[in-house]
Amino acid sequence: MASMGKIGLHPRILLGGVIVGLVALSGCDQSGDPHGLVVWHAWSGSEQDALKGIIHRYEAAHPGSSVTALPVPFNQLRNKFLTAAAANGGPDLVIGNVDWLGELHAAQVIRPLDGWLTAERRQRFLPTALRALQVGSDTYAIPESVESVALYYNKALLPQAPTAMDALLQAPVPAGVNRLAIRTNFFFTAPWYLGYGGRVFDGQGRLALDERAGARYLGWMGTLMATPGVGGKDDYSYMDSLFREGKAAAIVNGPWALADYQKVLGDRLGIALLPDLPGGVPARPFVGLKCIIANDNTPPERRPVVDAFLETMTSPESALALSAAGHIPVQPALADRLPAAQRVFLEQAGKGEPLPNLSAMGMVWEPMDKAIAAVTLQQADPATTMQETAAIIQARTAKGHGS
Amino acid sequence: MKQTRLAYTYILPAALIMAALTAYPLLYGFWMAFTDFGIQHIRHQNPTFVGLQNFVDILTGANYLSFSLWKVFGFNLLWTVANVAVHVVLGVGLALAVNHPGIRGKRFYRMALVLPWAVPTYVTALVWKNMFDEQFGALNQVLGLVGIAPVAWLQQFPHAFYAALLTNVWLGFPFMMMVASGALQSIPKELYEAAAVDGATAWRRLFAVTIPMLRPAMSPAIVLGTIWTFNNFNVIYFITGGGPLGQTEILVTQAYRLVNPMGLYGVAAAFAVVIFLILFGLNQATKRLLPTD
Repeated sequence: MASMGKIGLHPRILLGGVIVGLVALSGCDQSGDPHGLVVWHAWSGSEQDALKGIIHRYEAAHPGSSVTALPVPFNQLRNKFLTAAAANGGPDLVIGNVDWLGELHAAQVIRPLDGWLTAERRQRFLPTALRALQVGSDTYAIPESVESVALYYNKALLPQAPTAMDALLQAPVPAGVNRLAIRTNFFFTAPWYLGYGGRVFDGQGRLALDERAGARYLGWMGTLMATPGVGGKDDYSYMDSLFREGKAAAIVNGPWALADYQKVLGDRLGIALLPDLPGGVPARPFVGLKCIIANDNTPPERRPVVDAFLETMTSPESALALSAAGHIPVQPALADRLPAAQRVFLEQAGKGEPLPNLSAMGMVWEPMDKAIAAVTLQQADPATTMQETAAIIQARTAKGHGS
Repeated sequence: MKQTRLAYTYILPAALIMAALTAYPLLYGFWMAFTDFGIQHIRHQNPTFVGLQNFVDILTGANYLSFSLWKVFGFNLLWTVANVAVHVVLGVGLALAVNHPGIRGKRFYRMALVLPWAVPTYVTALVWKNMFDEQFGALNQVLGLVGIAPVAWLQQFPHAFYAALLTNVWLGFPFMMMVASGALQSIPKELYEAAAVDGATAWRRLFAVTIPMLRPAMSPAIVLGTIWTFNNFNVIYFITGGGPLGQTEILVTQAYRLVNPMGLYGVAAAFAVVIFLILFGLNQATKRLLPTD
């Protein structure tokens, strides 16, 4: 130890050097490019290719600019954005769902985009879509596409589109093939809860789960999953692969899968409205929106760059490129240019219920998923299960989030 | 004194970084446990102090939680004991087999049996999950060959527990095998010769020589294995997801759900403190049961 004083620097000088070094390093900024932009998304396959094309077009039109698009798994995207933005970081834009807005607004990590939505730009979008993206009186996102599930079917296994669930569940199919693949979570099966008259919030945004409709819906889920020829669990990849590999004749899924199913099945792919429940009760899916959300942390000097990218991202050319990847644009001027398949989704969306953007909606999904599991896996009583689930959702909403 | 100061000066940068990266988050989490920290407090941190309410809610199973701490803890204990017991028995058994003088290809066996440890847990869990699929999984296809009806492995209890146990045993036995294998090399052959001269059978030599000599090496391995298994998030999360209906949740996966999707950060922090106290107690108990000297 004594020799260190002879060979090395005086300890105080050494300590001073270390502290200066640490302070210098802490000043390093990874987001130094004023014309750079970071976008997070959960797109894959054709959607991601379309986004890359949009980015190339933007960069070509704005020399010196760069856009970094980072794919994040969908089930992690919201939380990762929330965590990063709350720590004063995160991307400039995130492509998310309408039902995230309430929570992100409550966490104060997103900024309103009414400044970007000039009168001219507002006319580009469906008015109902813009209203769905309002929290309070401010618009917190720009709509990118409308989403609602419908019925895809493989014409080689199911020649006719079924109009009723009874017909679908009795349709003749080859041995070893399921008649229907379904993801057994609340989002994908909500058409039957809403079809039975259920709702989540009332007109004033207060939690208003309908226990009677819920009991009927859970009873139906129990019957459905016990029917031979219905394959499903709460696993998107599993359900998706059943249909792609020809092990399911039909699947309830959304427009995000359209381009990839067309690649796999080609002319054998059919799309139809969701079949009616027994008794002629029409199914009513949640109608969601994919939207572009702006991070409140973007410094003011970079916001014009964000605005310029939004202009490119929402141009008719970009909307059509994403439409080719299966997205259904919310721009009325493009309605006539949509392929027939996407018009089916639009028709289905017209029969659905807007997905609430209230932060309390985040409290509904998991308990309802568990209720479905209780009834379908353990034959729990639907009425009791719905009652208990409603109580849990009510308690969680009161504890953690307000409507 | 000068030398002491010099020593402290050299370790100061590392100590500051350790304090920032380790101590600060721990203390911050401890503070959060006594507040109603939620999503609305992430950006502007002004949660309300709620005292011990979060701990009371956890210990009494408040309605909004929809789980019982004691049930989850009980399953967590069962999960840990079952795994560690099988890991140790299988690991030591395989180490003894591979260490047998008559075995050829020792190097090959050691390498092959360590491979499960080398594959990332995430990959292993996803592969095993697919193997447990009721309709198309490899396990049910093999069972079908011998006339056994498909088993809904992940959709009922205790089958989901067995599925997770099987996966974690596959992942965990190589560690115990390697520790035992190394310890076996250091047992003096003279002890076995002396035991043989005294007329000890193979079983007697195992219990009188091998196992006592393995104990100093296996004890810390068992303690480590216990802690790792108790907090094994990956296998439970990826294989069963805590299902069916939360029946295979362990404390750490349940804590995760308090944050995602519930957003109850304060309650999750209190839960983490509870887990720490439980694990600390278990650690002390394990050290008493398995002294290393």
